[in-house]
Amino acid sequence: MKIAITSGKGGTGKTTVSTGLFHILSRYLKHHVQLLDCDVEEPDCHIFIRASKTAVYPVNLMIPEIKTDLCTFCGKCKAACAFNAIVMLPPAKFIEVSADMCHGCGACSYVCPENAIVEKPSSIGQITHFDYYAKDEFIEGRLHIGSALQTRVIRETITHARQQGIILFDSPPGTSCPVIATVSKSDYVVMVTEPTPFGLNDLILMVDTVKQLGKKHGITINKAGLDYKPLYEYISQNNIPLLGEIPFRKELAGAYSKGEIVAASGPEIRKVFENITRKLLHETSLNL
Amino acid sequence: MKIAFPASANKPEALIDERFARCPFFCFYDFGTQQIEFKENMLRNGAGGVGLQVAEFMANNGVDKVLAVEFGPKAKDTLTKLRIGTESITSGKTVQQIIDENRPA
Repeated sequence: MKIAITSGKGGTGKTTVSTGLFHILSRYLKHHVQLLDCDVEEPDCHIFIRASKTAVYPVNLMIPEIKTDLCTFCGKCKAACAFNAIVMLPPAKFIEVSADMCHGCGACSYVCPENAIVEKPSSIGQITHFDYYAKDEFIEGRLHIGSALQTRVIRETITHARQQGIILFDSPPGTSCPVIATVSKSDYVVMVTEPTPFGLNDLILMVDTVKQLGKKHGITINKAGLDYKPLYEYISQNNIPLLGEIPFRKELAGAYSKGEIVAASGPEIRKVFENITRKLLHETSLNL
Repeated sequence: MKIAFPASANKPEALIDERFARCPFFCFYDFGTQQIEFKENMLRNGAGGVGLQVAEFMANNGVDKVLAVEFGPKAKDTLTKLRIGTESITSGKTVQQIIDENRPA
């Protein structure tokens, strides 16, 4: 069972919920669980999950290089490139692949009749394995600064997940490609929102997205207590299961700012997260 | 010497376009023949890599220098590689004004 933790709006509490669910499942409910940080542009679960690093795997993109001495400037590679990454100027004997635009699909070297294209690995990110209470319990995907291929790193990170047990994906924010890359590989989506106009606006976008992807989903409200009724009206009108609410408290923000797992910062909040986790297990038919 | 710059429409009284690679028209001006020519930018609606392809288009049209309000980093790099000069111009001027300002004395 793969569960993605998402939020349309950034800063609503994806990591708070992901690390909380992970902690409760792993530590208290003794589940076979694994957490994957799929927010590859800004992975932050490691701040809270202080686990020991066991292995690092590079994520490489095969970037083509065109040998101008073998190239006949036939233009087949340029025509095959879906990303407009090839610039060619035959009179000047100039041909080049822009590494910034290249997605490493390999179409150009496949169509080249002269074998003038060689592919060289270029590192765009890395995947790190950590041991927590169990081996490889936490995996982090990380995109190198300057690369724009988040989805490639996310997809590869997800291939590192175990084949059984509960897998939690801490998703990137928003509803664009990196989120789709994460959510499309999940069986259930936990949407984190907050009782503010921004929270509701972006929740609606997220609900539309998960419905189009045909994913079962539920909502967790963070910062509950901010009195914004339209959020609650929206949730009940659309019959979306509410998994639970995390109260808006200064001491929780304080624990978070010190890098503590919010769910583990006190008995009362632990109970809140335990209830959310149990409701989630019920919703995903993983009853205890 | 031939220059090119983005135009919002294909006539001399039109304003220059703020965008470089995604502008609707390019105006070409040849100092030698004093000929003004407009070409529609057929590359403008590409999903990505438009700057690179427009740079190639400039080279294929024999342009020596491109003038624009702003250049994308990839477009600028590629123009430089193709030995085409780049120069910044201020927005709000007409095509005719740009030609007059750059016409050799």
